[in-house]
Amino acid sequence: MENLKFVKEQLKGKKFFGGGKIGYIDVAFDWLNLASIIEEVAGVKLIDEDNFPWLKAWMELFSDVPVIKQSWPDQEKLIIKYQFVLKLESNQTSMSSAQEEVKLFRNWSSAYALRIVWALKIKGIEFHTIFEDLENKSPSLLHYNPVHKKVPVLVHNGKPICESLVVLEYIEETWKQNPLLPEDPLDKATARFWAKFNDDKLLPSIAVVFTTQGKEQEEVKVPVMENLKFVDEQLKGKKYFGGEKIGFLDIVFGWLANMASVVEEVAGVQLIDEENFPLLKAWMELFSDTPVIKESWPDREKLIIKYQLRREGYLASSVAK
Amino acid sequence: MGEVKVFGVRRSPYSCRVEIALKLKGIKYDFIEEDLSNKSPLLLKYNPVHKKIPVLVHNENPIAESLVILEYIEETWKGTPILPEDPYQRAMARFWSKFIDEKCMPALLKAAVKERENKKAIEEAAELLKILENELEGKKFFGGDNIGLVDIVADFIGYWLGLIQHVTGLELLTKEKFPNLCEWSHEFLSSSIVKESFPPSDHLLEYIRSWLSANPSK
Repeated sequence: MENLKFVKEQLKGKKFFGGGKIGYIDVAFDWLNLASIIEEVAGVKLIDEDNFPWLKAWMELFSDVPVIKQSWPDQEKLIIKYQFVLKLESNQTSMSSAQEEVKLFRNWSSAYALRIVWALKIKGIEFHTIFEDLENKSPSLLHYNPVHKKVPVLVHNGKPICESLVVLEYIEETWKQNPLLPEDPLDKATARFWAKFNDDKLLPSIAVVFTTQGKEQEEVKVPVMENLKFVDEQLKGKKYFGGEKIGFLDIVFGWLANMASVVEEVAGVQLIDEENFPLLKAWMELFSDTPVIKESWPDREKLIIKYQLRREGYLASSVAK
Repeated sequence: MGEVKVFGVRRSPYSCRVEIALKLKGIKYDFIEEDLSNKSPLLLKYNPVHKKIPVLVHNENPIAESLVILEYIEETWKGTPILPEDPYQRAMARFWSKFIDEKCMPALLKAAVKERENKKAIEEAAELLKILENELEGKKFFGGDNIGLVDIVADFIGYWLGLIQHVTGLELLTKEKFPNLCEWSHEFLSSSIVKESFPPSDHLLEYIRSWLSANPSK
């Protein structure tokens, strides 16, 4: 802006930099007509009428000169070219700040690990995935998560971070683009509160329904309905839990959009229906339809088989008791 | 700064966590002591989901869940930080806070209070304490040179556990087995702010005695 101010001063009382006619300096500044291309591609306002009236007037006058106009390169082609250049530049910076090795230890089905996949993809962070067989954990996993020995584990430049909610906060603080958490401390606290609610109350309550049947299942369904009601209310007047875009809380509740129907099918129970939870149902569809989310879902058939086996195991052991 | 209220119970380690953080940052607040057998309408209004203490109310906005409250306090009042600046160190602090809350607290309550005759429960609690013991190696506080988030979250270990052991004769957190933790507890309790935030030991001992006799071990 300061530099442009110096330039505009040169136009005081003059039609062209060269005076009454186009001169040497006008030709040197001709590239300024790229200004509108830069403004469009980079989303920034540089030369506006209010601040640089003479410069703006000169740009119009200059562009109108036949000799100049007929030599301009095609505007559309220029826009495409500079959009591509900008993309390359931003890839370079994000790559160099994360060159920077990012590894994610996960398995094929863990909903907690999916949270990390989504967060990394939404922020456009390149990462390597190491798939673990949880029946046969790798020495690397045990080295990186000795306390819990679980997935997911994010390893950033050799340093491990465990526990999906902790990892999400780390990702948010390390890579600032596409923020997932709101800025306001109270809104952040609200998001963290509901994330905890999902992990400490909602998910375990659904797990209990999953491991029971008959009359017992009917009884344990009651707290699930209460919990779901709280969650449904959070969506009032909002497209996503995060507002207009997918945020931290959508990522935390995301498992519902896929797993709820798996639980319902395997355990033979209706949990999230349109009538009782219209907002939640709508959100589940919207969320699932997002490409970044959709492309990462584990195979549904495999999930059904896995959870069928698991439920059979639970029911068998509870009968044995 | 605005109006700050804490709905809590002075003998609860969860409630005290919030008071320590506010006092460390020099924030004035009103404390409302709740009767958990007869919860106030205000508490139920401010925490309809869990109906529990502590709840921080800042300018009429309620925040519940002690770990969520601690992060809110940290972000709202910047003086005397309880979290480090570096994202990795912050992640470590959050990891250990979660570990204490989700793993240590239930195991310690089981071993020290609910099933205090259960040898296996005591062993399991000891294994978890060992992990914390190792984490303290070479450090004055979990937070390093100064009290931080993890120290605040470990307040039950620093104060309540010792008093319970005094009443029941439990030998779980001992100097022989956990020298780092015992030294840490001593440092932690030396802080005047921490001391001010806790109920006096004679009150707490009396409460522990009466609770234990009313609730025999399973």
